[in-house]
Amino acid sequence: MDKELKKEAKKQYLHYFRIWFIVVGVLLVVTVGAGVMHAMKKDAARTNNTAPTERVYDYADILTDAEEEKLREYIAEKEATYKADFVILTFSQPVEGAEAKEQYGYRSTNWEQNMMDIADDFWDENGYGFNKNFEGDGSILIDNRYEGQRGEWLSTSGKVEDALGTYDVENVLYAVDTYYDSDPCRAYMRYIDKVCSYLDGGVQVGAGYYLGAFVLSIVVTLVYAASHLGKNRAKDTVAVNAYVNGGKPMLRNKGDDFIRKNVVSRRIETSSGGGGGHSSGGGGHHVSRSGASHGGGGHRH
Amino acid sequence: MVYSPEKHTMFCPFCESEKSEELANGTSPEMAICPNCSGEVPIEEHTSATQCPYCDSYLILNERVEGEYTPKLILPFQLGKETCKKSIREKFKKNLFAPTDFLSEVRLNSMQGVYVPYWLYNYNTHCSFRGEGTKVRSWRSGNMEYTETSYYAVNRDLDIGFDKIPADASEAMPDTVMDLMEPYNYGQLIDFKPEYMSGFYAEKYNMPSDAMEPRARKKMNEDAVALLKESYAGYNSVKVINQDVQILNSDANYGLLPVWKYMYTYNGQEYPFYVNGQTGKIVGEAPTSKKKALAYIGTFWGCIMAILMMVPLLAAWL
Repeated sequence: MDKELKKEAKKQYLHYFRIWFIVVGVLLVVTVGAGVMHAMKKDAARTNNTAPTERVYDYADILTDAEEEKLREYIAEKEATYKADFVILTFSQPVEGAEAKEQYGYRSTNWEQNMMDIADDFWDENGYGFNKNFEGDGSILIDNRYEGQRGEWLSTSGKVEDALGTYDVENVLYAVDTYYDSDPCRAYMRYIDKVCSYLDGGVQVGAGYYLGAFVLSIVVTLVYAASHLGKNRAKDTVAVNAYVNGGKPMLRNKGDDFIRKNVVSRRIETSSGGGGGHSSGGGGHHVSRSGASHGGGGHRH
Repeated sequence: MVYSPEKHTMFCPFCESEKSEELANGTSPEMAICPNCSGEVPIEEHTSATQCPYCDSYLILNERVEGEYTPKLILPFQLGKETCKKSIREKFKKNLFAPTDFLSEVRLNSMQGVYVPYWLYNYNTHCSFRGEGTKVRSWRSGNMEYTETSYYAVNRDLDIGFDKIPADASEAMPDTVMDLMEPYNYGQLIDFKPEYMSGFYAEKYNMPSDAMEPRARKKMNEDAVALLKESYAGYNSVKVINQDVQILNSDANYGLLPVWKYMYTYNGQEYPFYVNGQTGKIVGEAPTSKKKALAYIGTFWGCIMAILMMVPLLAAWL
């Protein structure tokens, strides 16, 4: 009897969760498949051989030779893993104002516009991109050290552009800002690490997602448990006239005699107020002067 | 021979013949002789119909449905055991964490049809109400708001006849549960005939009508007050000055009302379920199997977590 009961319980359990098990099973198979594909992609060889081999252009001369070499090695290692080019360009020249526009042939007097153009043009004109020399995978960080116009700009392309939203670009730039003044070499390494973290699916979602997923799963499970733990109590369904002859009482007398009334008044307080707010906007996606799609953003110091 | 709620007549489940009678004579207050197998059937103090434990035939105890114990009215079972089993399964199918065998065929087959003794009380009443009611209206004029409150003297006099307010006369049946069994549709009440008891368990009344009358009177008073309140609806507020429910005359009749009883035992604890044998209304709470609840809740959580974990990986890799 006990054995039969356990068998029946198991049968009910499997029947009840059959859809869930199928969904989880299919997802698991697809995830494992995607993981294998992803790993195979990681082993893919470089297909853009026209781009320069140089990755670190320290025109502002803020890095030591050892630091430049360290960065080159670090970038080579990351490029091999993430199949994306990482370029660093430092310089020191005005990028804002009419004078700079005239002197350097910028299309704008605006700092942001010109920093963006410099980054995009440097990338496009050199034909960077791990897989191809136009809209290929990778990113460039440019750092302008010109006094009064200091700041960095990140330009993304290909799968890096796809992986990094506006919020993610901001996070990369904040990571750079941490060491911008104190240790530029470390700041650039942080740029590479942070971009790589967004290319790496597992790290991209961040701990916040997993915490949120855990909390959400607990909440959903509690709702599920509560909905099935309901006691299903019977309610009193007897109407007040259930036992009344004819279903209603016989009215013998009904009186509603007016006695008095009183009126009170009050002044209505009016208040005026206004709404306020702020708008935010932005977005990193744009098309460069050479027609390539880029993402990115910048921080001015 | 048993009474078939579906066929509305006496019915032999073996030879399928209809209409017959069989009554047993008790030998002692604790024992009766089965007219079918002559076996000695143990009986409780108030039992008036029961089942022979040896041959499964039903017997009715003559002396407990005669004389002072003759019911005036009976409401024959309208729902058979199969219909009730179906209703119980339907009602508790969402109780996922109930023990596996809770709704099993074997367990539900133990369900017993019982005729519960009831006193049915009739009251003729005169109900009066005196109170002060208010009606409030508000309006605006410019930057002023005005509120006018009008006061009225509210008088109501109602004659209310209450017909067959039930109060069960069985100590074995919990009063609160029997109250929740209501309402019964009295249109199907008929004069008592012992044959309707065949195939079911039954009790004679355990206590006289006087003993149960306060319960019925309480129900009557509550309904009368509610009906008075309905009669002066429309006021924003009403202050009661005087309210009276006067009983002009009353009487009581002894009747039998049908209840299906399912007793489920789990972990040494009894979980009783009662089904109104006429309307199918169910009273009872399903037990929870902690093991089953943990297994189901754990699996559900695991599935949700697995999906939430895999989605971002897929999004990144595809």
